Amino acid sequence: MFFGGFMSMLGNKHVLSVMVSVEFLFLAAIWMASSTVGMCDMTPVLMLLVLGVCEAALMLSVLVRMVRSFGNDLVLSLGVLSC
Amino acid sequence: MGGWSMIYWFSKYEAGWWGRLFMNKQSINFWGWYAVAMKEKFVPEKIEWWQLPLLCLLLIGVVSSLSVSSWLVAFLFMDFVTIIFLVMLSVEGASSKYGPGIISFVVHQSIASAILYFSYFLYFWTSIYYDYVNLITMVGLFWKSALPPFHGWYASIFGEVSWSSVFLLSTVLKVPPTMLIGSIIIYSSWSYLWWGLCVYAMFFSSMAAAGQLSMRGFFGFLSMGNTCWKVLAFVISVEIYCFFFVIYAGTLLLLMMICKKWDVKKIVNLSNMSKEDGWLIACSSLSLAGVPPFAGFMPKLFICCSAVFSGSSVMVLVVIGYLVASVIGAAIYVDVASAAICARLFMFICPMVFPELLVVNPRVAMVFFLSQIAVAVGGMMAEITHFYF
Repeated sequence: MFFGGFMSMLGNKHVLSVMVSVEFLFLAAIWMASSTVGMCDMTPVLMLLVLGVCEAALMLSVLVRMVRSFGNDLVLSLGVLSC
Repeated sequence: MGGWSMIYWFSKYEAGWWGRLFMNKQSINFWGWYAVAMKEKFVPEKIEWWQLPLLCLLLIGVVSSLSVSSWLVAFLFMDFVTIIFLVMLSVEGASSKYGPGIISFVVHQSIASAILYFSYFLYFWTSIYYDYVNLITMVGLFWKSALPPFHGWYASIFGEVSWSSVFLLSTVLKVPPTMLIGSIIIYSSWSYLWWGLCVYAMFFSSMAAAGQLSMRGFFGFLSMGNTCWKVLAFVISVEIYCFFFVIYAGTLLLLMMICKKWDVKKIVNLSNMSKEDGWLIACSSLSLAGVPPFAGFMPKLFICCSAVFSGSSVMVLVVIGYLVASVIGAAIYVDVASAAICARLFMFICPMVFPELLVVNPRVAMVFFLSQIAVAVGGMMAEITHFYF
């Protein structure tokens, strides 16, 4: 599942697609956490979940800033040199 | 130099310091236009209210990530540090454009965190494949600390953020991953691979830095190379790591404060500053290169000697690789230092009036080259015999 998420990150047109793939990686890690340490105590899983959500929120805020300045979230537009 | 930087840092927020030097009645007639230009240039910067709490949170996260006994909590704190740093980037640049640097920083750091969490929980699923799971952990840590070949996000962010964020990115954010790499690398079954990658990282950063024209790029690749030195320092001992870190951070702080003061973008812009700041930049740059008699030579000497006398042949090879890469990187440090002190090599800028003076007899050049090698080999033989006789 993790390596599937990794492969899905390649060849994306939109930055949002890349971010969704990153969240899929986090989902795989949380699933592994809940099936290993989560059987005894769910606290580490909860901490992982909270940090993943915070990071996703910050990634979205960065995406919004990018769209406001570039007009789109295409990966190719990041390579354009502009003032 | 540290004292100079502290005095400058505190005086920066008091316009009266510059006023007392330049703008009283007696001195304005003497300094004249220079005083007016300096006063206009150095307007004190307003400290925002959120800067101190965010910085404290960042330092708490960094120190906490090294004080815990669980790897998962250490990785969680590293993620926390990344989030706090991202908040600092967001609030300071309200009007700046978010380019490929910050986007790639966010995405790459998230991927590295996911890899670290994945590797931690993978240990619970196997009992015989620990060596292979260790590979994944080290990949994640190398990715976090921007060591080649996982450095793709690093250089681009240096051009987009403020100087204070660049300083934090080069120093404070490197501490947790480098310490964790240093903890694992000697106990890993793949230690030859990781040491080889560290030496590759040193060569990569030196060669990439040698071709830089902008100061931000110079700082980016410089910090990449110094990350490798930090890893080796931590393998030896925490004290040597702290010693190297303090000297490196202090010198870097001074360099960046002067670059911020004069708004330096390219290396050639280093010529447009005051004489004192130019010499400070030159000495700091050579200190970072590790050239004696500057301060930066001492921690590198301690690291090299401790690594060589540890008895491990791998460490000797690593030190040799680091030193050769440092010689390559010295080209950019000398470039920066000579630009800062406005040293011009007339041989390269004047027209070629007497080209025959530049021709060297190949036999003479070969004799010179071979004599250098003979001196180096003879010196090494003498040193080696010292251990046996």
